[in-house]
Amino acid sequence: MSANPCPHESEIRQLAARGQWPHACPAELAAHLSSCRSCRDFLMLDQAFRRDRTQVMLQSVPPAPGTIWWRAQLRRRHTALESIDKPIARVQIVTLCVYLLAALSLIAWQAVSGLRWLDALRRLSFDFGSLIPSSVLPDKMAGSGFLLLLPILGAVAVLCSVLIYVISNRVPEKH
Amino acid sequence: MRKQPTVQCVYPLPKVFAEEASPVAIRPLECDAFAGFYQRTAPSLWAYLARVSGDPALADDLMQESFVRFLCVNLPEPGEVAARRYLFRIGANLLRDHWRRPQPASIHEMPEELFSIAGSSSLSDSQAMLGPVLKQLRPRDRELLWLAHAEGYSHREIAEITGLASASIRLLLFRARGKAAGLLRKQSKGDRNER
Repeated sequence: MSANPCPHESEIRQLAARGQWPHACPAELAAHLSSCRSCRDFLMLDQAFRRDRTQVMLQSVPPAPGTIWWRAQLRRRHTALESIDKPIARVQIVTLCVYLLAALSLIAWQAVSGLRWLDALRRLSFDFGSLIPSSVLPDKMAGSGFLLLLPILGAVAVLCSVLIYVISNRVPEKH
Repeated sequence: MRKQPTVQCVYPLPKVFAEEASPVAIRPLECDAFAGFYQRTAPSLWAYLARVSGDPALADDLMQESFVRFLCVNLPEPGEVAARRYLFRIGANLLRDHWRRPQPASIHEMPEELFSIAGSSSLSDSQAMLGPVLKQLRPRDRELLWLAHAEGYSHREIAEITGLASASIRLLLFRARGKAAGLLRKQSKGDRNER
């Protein structure tokens, strides 16, 4: 069995496509059809599918083109916004990471000198702990490294809240 | 004299229907041009999707989605014929994506008769004859036969739409044709015997 089409197939296809079958069919082609099973099958299928297509097309109830147009506009606008929003969010995250790293390295770098500075302050008989009300700070903690920890923790809390805000504000990618 | 208000598209949509082949010279598809193209193409795309999927409701959804996606891309080639082919390609890909996705259990349990295009009483002769034959064919065979016979696409165009290799279309179509013709003959023989 060969998959090569009969040489008359294209001729039959053209006749059927133009709607000239069977009225404008040459006598030789009609004679060929009676002897060629491949062409008969081809014509039978072609006519069945064409008739079916006409019938099925009549049953279609497409929505108004304006609706489709409007939906496409919305999608394009959303895609455009997303394409702008994505790099901005990325830049925001990178900037935040850089700031965090810089803050941490600055804290680590200045930790020793900062403690020394506190000692110097203490020597000048300046009680740093006296700035905080005694009701808030227990006696044991006053004058210890805890005082230095407070602004650090505050900064980390602020940065974390900013990070959470940025992440929660990101546009979802799929709809 | 007052000027007539014109519909302005905020975002330029795909560029088709151009006389020149150069992408720079292609005019953007405007609302009115799209409406005309849509009315000429939507029924045939729906017929293709409904017949290949066997599910008119799914065909409705996929047809709308195909047009929306079509409007959101820039076409590789100008001209209505190429645009139509591209639209069918989007439809074929959406159909394939749908088949790949896991189906909800409730849809699986429903009998296939519920998805038939119309009630048996309103079925035309051609549908009554071709319907059972299409049901027995594989989706790919249905797709190839529909594109070749109902839409009249060439092997090269079918390859472009379906994403299959152009060389294999001939063989696949030959096999599908043989299968469908056999089923169709059997069907018409059965109908004649019943009468």
